[in-house]
Amino acid sequence: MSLKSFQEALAEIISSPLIGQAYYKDPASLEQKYSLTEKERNRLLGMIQQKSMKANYMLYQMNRLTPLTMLMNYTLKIIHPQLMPLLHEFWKAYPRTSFQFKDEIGFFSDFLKKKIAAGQLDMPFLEDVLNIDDALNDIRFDKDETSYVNDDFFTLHPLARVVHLTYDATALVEAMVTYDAAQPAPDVPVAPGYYVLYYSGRLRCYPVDAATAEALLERRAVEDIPEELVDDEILI
Amino acid sequence: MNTPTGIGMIYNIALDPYFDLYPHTLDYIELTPDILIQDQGPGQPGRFLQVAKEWEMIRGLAQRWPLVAHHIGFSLGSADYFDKEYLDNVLQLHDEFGFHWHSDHLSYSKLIQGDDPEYNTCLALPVPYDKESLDMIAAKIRLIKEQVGTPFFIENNVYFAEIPDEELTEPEFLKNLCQEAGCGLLLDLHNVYVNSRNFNFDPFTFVDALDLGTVQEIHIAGGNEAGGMYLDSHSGAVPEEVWQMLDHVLPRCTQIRGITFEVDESYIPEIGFESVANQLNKARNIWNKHKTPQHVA
Ligand SMILES: [Fe+2]
Ligand SMILES: [Fe+2]
Repeated sequence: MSLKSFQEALAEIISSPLIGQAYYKDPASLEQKYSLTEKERNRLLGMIQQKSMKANYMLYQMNRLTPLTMLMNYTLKIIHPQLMPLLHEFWKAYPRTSFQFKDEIGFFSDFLKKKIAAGQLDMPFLEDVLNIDDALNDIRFDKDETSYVNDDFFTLHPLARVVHLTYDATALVEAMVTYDAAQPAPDVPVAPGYYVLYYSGRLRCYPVDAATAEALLERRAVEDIPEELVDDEILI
Repeated sequence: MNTPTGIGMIYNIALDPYFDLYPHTLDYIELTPDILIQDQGPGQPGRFLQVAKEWEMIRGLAQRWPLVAHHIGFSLGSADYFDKEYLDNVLQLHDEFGFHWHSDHLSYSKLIQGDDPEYNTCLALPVPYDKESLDMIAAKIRLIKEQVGTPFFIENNVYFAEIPDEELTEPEFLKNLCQEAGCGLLLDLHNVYVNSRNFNFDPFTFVDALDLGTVQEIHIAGGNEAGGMYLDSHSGAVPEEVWQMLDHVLPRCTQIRGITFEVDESYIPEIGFESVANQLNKARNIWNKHKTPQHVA
């Protein structure tokens, strides 16, 4: 039990310099949280003091950031001015990550959504962009490609998702290519409603009416078949 | 195919065109299956998914070169932990690809705490060089070896904090571990170099203290400096000192099977395929200088 406890403590310590410093100032809190031998306790307190520990902190942060930079590109552009404080808050709220990128981006998306819902995060386009990133990742990680399969004649393509957005999807996605949070926010038309996003390396967006979107989401037959979606083989 | 001896490289996606451009630079390919697998988590049905389209590429490469497996997911150093499902998946991959040997690292990266599912430490952390960790890791390696039925090598680690008051030195630990587990040493010379720079010791004295007769594979790679530390970023060209270390140890590595070059995919566009080929050719020159008849497959 003891070596395991030592390893858990070390894993916690390398996740932030503040954690180690707090334990160093108050070793009793370290002993309280982990069941360590005298030797293990002294080892950890000794390691916290080493200058080289900063490489551990740096690598932890870099490695935890990797899935977000790879898979939440649009969202990161929007939150860029507040990136580091948000990340530190996220790591504090979600101190443990899994081995899978899919889990980590799910945690981060949940974290941002909770903050938006609580009115603590208000940045241009953020909610929409987060919905788009989530949809793209859902497509990327869809293992059995059956998200919308129903028994009816028309089924949504496995590489497509239905989302609800406030801004016009195509204009927003275009604006995101050159988006720079330091510049004035680009002019993107407000067009609240449902959109079908289709992604196979390139993203295409189609506005759909509420009845169609709800039918697709609930896996029911679509009454009024949108021709464009059939022509582009998004409804198949 | 015969057991490979010679020069190999760790596969990454950015290398795909390389294999047709410079096939003669390679005698074998080292694969880290974890990078092409989605792990749904312990206990999940169909837990390990081969989602990446690169598996087709790997199947193609397996027709042309011997493959060896370099895992990152056994987390051999984690106390009270052994992932039997992970081993089962390795066995399944082994059945398909017939890896000539398997290896993993002397470190830990996965933990289970309380009721939480397995979580990731985000970097490979060092284990204390004590008898307790030695026995624990040796038992796991023996189990893997017995199941897989091929040689198994353990790779020396990079660390960014020294654990105080250890029972054994790193060379003693590695020697005893190889003995107790019946495994070989995968000597990562760049890892030794990284540690020597960050903790101020002579890497040549360090390698001289190793039991070089246990070395069955060598890793070479490049790194870079960041924030006053030297990192094993696998960023391209192998530093001159690491080449010298290779030349220095190779005559005494009597059991060596291969020298493997590691480069991270994010650096490939920057350094280019030709520079990758140059590194492999340089390794081959040193290999040719020291190889003995027993090293010719
Ligand atoms: Fe390795
Ligand atoms: Fe290595």
